[in-house]
Amino acid sequence: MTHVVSDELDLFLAHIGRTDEVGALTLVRNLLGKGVPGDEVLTDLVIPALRAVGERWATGEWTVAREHGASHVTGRVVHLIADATPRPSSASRIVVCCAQGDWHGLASTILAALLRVRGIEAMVLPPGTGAGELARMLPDSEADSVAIGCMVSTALPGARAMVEVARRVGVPVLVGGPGFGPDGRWAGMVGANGWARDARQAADMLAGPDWPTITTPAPRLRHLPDATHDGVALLRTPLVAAGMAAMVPIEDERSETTLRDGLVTAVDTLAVSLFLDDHVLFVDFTRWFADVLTHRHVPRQALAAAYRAFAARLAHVPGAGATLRMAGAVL
Amino acid sequence: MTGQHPSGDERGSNTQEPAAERRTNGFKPPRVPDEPAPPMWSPGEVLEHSDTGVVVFTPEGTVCYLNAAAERLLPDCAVGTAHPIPPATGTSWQGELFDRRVRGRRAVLGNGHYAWYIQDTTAERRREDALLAERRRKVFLAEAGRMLSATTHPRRLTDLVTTLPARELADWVALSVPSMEDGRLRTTYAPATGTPIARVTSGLGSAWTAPAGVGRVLRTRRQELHPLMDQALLARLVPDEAVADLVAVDARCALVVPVPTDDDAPSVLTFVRSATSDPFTEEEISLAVDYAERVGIALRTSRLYVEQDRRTMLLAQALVPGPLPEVPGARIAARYRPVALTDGLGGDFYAVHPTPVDGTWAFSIGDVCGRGTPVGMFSSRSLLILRTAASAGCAPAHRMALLDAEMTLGDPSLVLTAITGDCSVHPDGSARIRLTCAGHPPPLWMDPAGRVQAMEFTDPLVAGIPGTVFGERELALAPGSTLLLYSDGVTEARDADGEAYGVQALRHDLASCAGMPVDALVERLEQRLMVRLGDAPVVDDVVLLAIHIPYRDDDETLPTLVELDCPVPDEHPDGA
Repeated sequence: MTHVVSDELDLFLAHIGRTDEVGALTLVRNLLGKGVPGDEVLTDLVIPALRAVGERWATGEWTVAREHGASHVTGRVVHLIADATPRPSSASRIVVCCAQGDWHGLASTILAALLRVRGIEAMVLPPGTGAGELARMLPDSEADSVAIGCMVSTALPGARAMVEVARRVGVPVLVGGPGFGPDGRWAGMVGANGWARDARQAADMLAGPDWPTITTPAPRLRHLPDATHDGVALLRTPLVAAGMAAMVPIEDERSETTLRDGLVTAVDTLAVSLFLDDHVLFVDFTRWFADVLTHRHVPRQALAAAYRAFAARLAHVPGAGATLRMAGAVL
Repeated sequence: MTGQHPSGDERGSNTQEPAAERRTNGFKPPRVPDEPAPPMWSPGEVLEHSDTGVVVFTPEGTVCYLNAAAERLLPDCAVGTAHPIPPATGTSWQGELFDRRVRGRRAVLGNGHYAWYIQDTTAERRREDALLAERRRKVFLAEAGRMLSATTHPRRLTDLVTTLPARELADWVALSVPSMEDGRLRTTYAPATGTPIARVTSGLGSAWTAPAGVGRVLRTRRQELHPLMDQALLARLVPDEAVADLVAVDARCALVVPVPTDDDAPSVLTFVRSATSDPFTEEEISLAVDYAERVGIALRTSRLYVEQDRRTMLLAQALVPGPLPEVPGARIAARYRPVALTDGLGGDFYAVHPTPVDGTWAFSIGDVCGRGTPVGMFSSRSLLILRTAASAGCAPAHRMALLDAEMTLGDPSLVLTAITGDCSVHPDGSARIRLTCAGHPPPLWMDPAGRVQAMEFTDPLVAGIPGTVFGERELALAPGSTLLLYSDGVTEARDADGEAYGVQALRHDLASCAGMPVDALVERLEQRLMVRLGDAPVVDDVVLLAIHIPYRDDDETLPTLVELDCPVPDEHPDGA
């Protein structure tokens, strides 16, 4: 890490925290003026700053509005860096997008900027682009590969759908981001041709000799003959209602909203856990959610009761009962 | 025949004496009947005529008997010698004897002797192999056809065409596409030695007159098989650039097949196999022809599609809103999410345009009902009328009336809703907005404290009915206020349960954006909408246009607002 760049981190955070676009842009413009390469500014300043923003939002230190403002200013900064960085002539083209259901478009923009520095022409699709839209644009694009980023594991089925449409037309897919689990353990389940730890590794893989020009359709998921996870996700509304009914009535309206939102996420996470055939995801979520509930003075037993209500309604879904029991043990 | 069945008789005798004692030399002689009758045949004879080869070994492993069938299968096998091929243990065995495929069963006989019953399964296995190969070819064709038809981009299509048959049909494949327009022959070939897909262009004239290869196939439209090639022939069949590569892999035979595309000249596929592969069989040649037929359909579809796509894209590009201009005293941001082009062009439009009055600028948003090319074209025409009227200095209501008058001339089935307005910023930083809303969802505005209010309008939509009068309303926006214009695609979008997003949800979400920069605001609103919809498809264009009046000193940071306790709904992270 360069000292010049990382020293500016606090000041940069202060700028984006106040939505001070001019301040943040001037800071970065000065760095680039001093001859710091654009990719270094991205990896040593912008990405750590975003990580800090995420933490401040998670701990409740920053409001949603402030976090969005900071991301917006950071987006401007990334564009400035991308425009200021020379692009070597490109040998290959790639489409960069978020997994359907994941909204961290800034991650795609940063990856695209870093890939361009390495001579890969990157085209960014806006977050919210679905598998259908990807299927329509991909056959006519000049893309040799697709890169799919996923920050939250609940978007993995969306990622899977996108991988399927890309590979169906023979375009290989590279994936990355924390949503794919530690060391990309779920990348294979999603059907990707490869998983990259970071932008640097992504560029290396794409330029490497082992990266396919044309790929075969994504392998089928053997444990999902009838797409059980879809079944669970479709039952979201009745499941959440049953879960809420099973829990002790909550007086505080704010806590009730948290609970309801939490149960919605719980159902989605359970569905993804079944999709991945890996209960770790759901157990980890349960642990995290139980902590949140403790802060709100809701007893853990309440969540256990909600899980029992889920299990009663999901008796027909193979695997759901076992996963819920596993998570119930944590409570 | 005497009517005495040997085995029936034997069963009776077994109860009296041990069977082993009655066995000699590995086979059972028939029981001597009680009344001596001259034996008319011997079991040996029966064995001699059997199609199953029988070899009997002594416990030491030397052959002590073999029948005629076994002699045919094992010509080097003789009585009194050891034969290494059938194993001394195990109960079954499959293998190859010279050019025959055999299956054997071992039976233990008395005194440690054993016999191998060997069946010639060559014909059976050949039929099986043929069936399997046939099935593989079918699967390959189905798979190839599916992948080819899913690709319309010309470059990716040629890449696919040359890489798909790699394992099934040939070691090297080239697709040559002649172009009558520029007289060039474009050849794409997949690598034989790991190099990337190559594209070469050559003159069509010289290829056309060639006595063999692509040119000849182009002329005659008949396939060519070269079962054995030397280097000179190879050089005539493939582009010069590929010759060295193919010599390196020892290319032996080639198949050149025309690709029927219903054009003046067919395209041509060249398949080359190296010495390590088998020569082309008749079935494989017909597979190559079938493959070429599918390639032809895909090439033709791609060509038609590209032509049509180019036209649609030209039209769509004319309709896609350009970047918003910078305007004095306000920040504007928009999000436009058109429904995919395959469903036809949508009729939504928005723009910000200049007026002749200093410090005043105009904005418009509208939606022509319906989809398709006429709707798209009318939408761009409507925008042009509003823009021209604004630059001529017409007031919003006048602009709308002009648009309505234009409607009376056009297709009577076209109807549109629109908002057009002027925004003038005062020296103190506040803004005055005059606007006309013709049947469009009325705008929302948020004051600096984050309170959201709706405006109400009763004007009719623009339908070209003579005599329609449009009203105007004024709105004073203090610094820090935001005006949000949106299309009905936003509030009428439905989630999977059929529930519409609605104005209430939009108001709520807008309030949660208090204090955000205007670009982040529209982005977040779009995101909230999409999250709410989940997997449900978006069926109408989504347009969000926000106008924000910043504080006077142009300080966008608004530190007080960020810290302000806005009515932010309780947020929850999206995932674990």
